[in-house]
Amino acid sequence: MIHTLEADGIQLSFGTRRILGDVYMKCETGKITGLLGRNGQGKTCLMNIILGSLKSSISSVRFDGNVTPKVNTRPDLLLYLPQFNFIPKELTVKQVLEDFQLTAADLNTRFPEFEGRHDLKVKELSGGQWRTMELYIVVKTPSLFAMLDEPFTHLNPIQIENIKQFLLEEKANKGFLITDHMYNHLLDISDTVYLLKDGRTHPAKTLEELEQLGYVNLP
Amino acid sequence: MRTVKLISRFYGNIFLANFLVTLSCVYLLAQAGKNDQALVAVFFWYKIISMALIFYTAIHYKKNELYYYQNLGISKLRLILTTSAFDLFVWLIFVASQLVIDIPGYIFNLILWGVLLIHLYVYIKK
Repeated sequence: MIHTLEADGIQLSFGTRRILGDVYMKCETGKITGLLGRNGQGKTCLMNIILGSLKSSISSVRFDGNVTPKVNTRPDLLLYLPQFNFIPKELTVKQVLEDFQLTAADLNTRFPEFEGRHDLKVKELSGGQWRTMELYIVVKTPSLFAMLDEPFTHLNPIQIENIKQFLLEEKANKGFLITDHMYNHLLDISDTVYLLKDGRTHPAKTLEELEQLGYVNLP
Repeated sequence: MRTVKLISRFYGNIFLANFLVTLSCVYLLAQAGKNDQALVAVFFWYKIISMALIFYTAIHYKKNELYYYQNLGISKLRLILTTSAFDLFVWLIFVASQLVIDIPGYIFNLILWGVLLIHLYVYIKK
């Protein structure tokens, strides 16, 4: 069965500055939805509104057509990877896996660089490994959808390719909403792409469309 | 059980500060002697205000980590409510014990040093 996550009619203003005005977007399980936009266009705000941790003047977040206001208390519906590190730094890799009821063997299989490092504290990992660990728990923990805010930050090119492959494999289990400034990587793996511009979402899939919308300058 | 473990892990970050406030309340009550019951209301508000400040500081400095608990199904509100309710319960037990059995001063010293040593051990282990 295909599940849907829809964000509809979202409006957000800070004082007199309008950030989001009548945004609509739809995600489906089994698909990766990309969200692009320049800095300050409201990508993270939109994710926080969907999550329910930021209030907007008008918004409707629907799972399978049912309005769900406080999604941040429903990890079975939606998990969130913020753009900053969020795992408590004094926890060990083993403790994190236990908390999320994930197996060490699967982590080792997917990311062999973690082999023999399960007793290390998260703060003792490299920045790339720390980010990979966070991605891994958000992607692997059972839920209908996952929102990933800048998942490729802190990762080297090889790690990015591994993560892209990982996401393509795992999209069979959930739907993803991903935002990142590395638009080439996002275009590679996304089934649907929205560009957030002037407070509205614009469907776009190719580089040419992104250029027409003023997001990129092609040579 | 997993939820209790996660909430107590969060509480561990603010336990020492909250416990020292509780201990100072009980110590001052012991010093008050016969007038101690009249001071309970004062110490109650002292405890509430210091608790609010400690929680505000903890939430501010740990705000990124709150997403960890959120992804595990424990909201910020739930973390604050459960840990503050437990902390107030500990305060209540200590204050009631002081009022009923008048705890001798050396017991305070023992508890204080015990807690400090445990925290030092946990800090070194971290």
